[in-house]
Amino acid sequence: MAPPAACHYYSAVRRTSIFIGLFLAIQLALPLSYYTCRQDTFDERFAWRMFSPTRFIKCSVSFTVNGKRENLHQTFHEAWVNLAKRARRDVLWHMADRLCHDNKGADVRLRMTCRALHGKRSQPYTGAWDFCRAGTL
Amino acid sequence: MKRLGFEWKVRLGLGAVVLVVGLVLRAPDVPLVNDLLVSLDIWLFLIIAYDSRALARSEFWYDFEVPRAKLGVFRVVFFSLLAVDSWRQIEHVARYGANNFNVSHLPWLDAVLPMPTSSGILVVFLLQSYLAARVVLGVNVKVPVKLLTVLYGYSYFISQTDSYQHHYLLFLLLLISCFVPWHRDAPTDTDPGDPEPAPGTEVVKSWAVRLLLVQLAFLYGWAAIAKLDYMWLSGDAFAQPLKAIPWMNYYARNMPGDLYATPAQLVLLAETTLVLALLNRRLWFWAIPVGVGLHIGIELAGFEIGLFSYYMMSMYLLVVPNRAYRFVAQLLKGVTAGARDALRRAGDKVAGLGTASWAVLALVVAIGTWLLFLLPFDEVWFLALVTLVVALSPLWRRRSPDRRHTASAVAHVAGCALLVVLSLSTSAPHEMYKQLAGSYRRLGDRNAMFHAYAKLAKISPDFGRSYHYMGDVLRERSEQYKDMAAKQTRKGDSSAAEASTRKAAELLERANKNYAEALAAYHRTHEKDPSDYWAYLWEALLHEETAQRLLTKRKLAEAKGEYQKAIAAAVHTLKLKPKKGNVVRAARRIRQRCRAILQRMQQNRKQPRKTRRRRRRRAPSGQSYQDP
Repeated sequence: MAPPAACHYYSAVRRTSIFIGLFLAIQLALPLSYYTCRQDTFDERFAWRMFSPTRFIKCSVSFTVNGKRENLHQTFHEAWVNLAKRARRDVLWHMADRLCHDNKGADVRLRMTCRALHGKRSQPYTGAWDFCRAGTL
Repeated sequence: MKRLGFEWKVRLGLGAVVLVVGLVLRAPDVPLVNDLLVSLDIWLFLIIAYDSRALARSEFWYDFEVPRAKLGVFRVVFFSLLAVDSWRQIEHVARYGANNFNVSHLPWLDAVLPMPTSSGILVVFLLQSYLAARVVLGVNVKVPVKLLTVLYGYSYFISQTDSYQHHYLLFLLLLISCFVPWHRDAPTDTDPGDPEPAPGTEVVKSWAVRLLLVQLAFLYGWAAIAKLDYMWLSGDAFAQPLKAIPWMNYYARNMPGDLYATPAQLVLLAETTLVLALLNRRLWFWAIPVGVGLHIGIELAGFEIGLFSYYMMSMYLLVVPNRAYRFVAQLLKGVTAGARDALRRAGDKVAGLGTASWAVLALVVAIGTWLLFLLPFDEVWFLALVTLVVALSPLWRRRSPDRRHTASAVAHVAGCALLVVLSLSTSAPHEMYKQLAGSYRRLGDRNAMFHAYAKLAKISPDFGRSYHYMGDVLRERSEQYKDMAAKQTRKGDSSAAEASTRKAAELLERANKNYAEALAAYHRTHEKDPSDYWAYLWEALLHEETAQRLLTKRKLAEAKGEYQKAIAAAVHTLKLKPKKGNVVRAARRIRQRCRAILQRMQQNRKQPRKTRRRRRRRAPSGQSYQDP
């Protein structure tokens, strides 16, 4: 039978090994998820994509409430508006949710045009979707 | 060749094969150097994949030895950076919880934790700075490191407005740091009976330090994978942020060939090299020039990434050869031993005072806490309370004070003093209140805005804009009281109306005082920094607003003078800021408006009285500037 000190040592090593294994697995899985299953490719968090080409895509965002263009700076802090301009879906949907909450029964739509580095344009949101009716989150 | 082991023969062989394949398959329109780089990159990736087998070996983790001197130097540099960086973060507190809107990094956090507030997050950042300072001093490191990790994790994950990837990296590094044996009581390779090791020779085994390096290797590896993209390899993505830097743009336009493609590929090569070098101790020697060079380059390029480059450079202290630390430790043997002995003696002396030692400790802790009240924040009370708990935590379960308590009290004073020094020497509090006030202004919270500008006026008396906006708020309130007085008069409540009128007059007087103070502050700024075009622009705006108010009161001569001053200030702005932009547009608009009004005033004066009367009747409402 092994002495108690050795038992303690081996259980500590096992715990440490589990921690290291988990840590490495997360560090592999999270960035890998960006390339495999992340739906929002504009969201590069936890993927270590520093200075990636996605970062330089510029978007213009406009929310309309009952057809009238909303001044986002009057409702959201500038930092959120800048994140919205980076087409971060999480942020955009939360913004839409907030606008629906502030304007009960209104029609909230999002229009967004993005321009990539080589000038290629895309329109991730065309304004066809009423967030309040369709639900956002 | 005989000197190389089997592993290296395999590596070189693989590399040679990939290199040849890369060269054979190269596209005819791509320069040779680009192909070479990409081929080398693929080679390195294969080597990394081959090397990563080491991660599964237990000795890779558990036999990793670090000199204690190296840990000490790394701790001081890394946590010093963290202390300063956390302080700098207070500039961004306005983002947190503005208008009750927040999106956290992890969706479930929104449900579990309350909405962050600017006040709360300010305390968190200040505490981070304080705790990092305590870790730098090496006093009771375990608890502060754990607390720091929790607070850092909270401040990062609670809001997506913090989108810096290196803040996520810092959280991971802090998490690993909780397991680093910073203290001497950690297991060493020397038996208790052994004599005291020579300076710099004491070594500890630490899997956590190895994990710190592996984490860096992961970072570089994934960053390299993200760059295996046409946009990066062609240099387009690399050029984008660099083009904003004037000297970089100058060379890009004037140098022959494709300037950005080759450095972009070199970055990729450097990152893959670093993965390999950080995982393999024998290659550490290469990691330092490549890694430090890469981060110096990033810093020189002027990207807005905070202290990221400095943090990364500090990490390379862990791969500096052990003998360098041994050498330095030998060199500083006398100094470090002397300082340690002096501190021990002081600690023992205080502990030896018996009951009086409690009083001494209480006095030292009280001095530290008093220092916190020199900070220009309203939240200081809460901060003082939490830091007191941290400072007094070693007293828990102890009946008499010992050396540790003295050290903890001294560290408390040092942590608090650091906050005060940073407050006095940096513009972070000014920026913080400026951002807060601006945020409240845009979101329409006039009371909070007034309060933030009042704080800003206290911190920076020469910042005229705060008086300007405070004057605006006071004038608005004065108008409200005037309206109220009019209503009360209509209702027949003469005493209330009188009180409201008095209040309105008082507020108006305060507003005018603030406007005068703003103007004086703008003038002080002109004297201090004649190139500050913002102060001229704001002065122009203030003169224009004053002129408009004078016009409504029919004080034409004074209004004219104010309009002329506004034009002069706007012209000065345009002289200082000749390039296009919002400032130029605003200055031009002010100049245009003021000139137009002055012209019309001139025309009205030239016209005979009768005509003017007729024109006044025809003029649309709102043009009250005409001479009656």
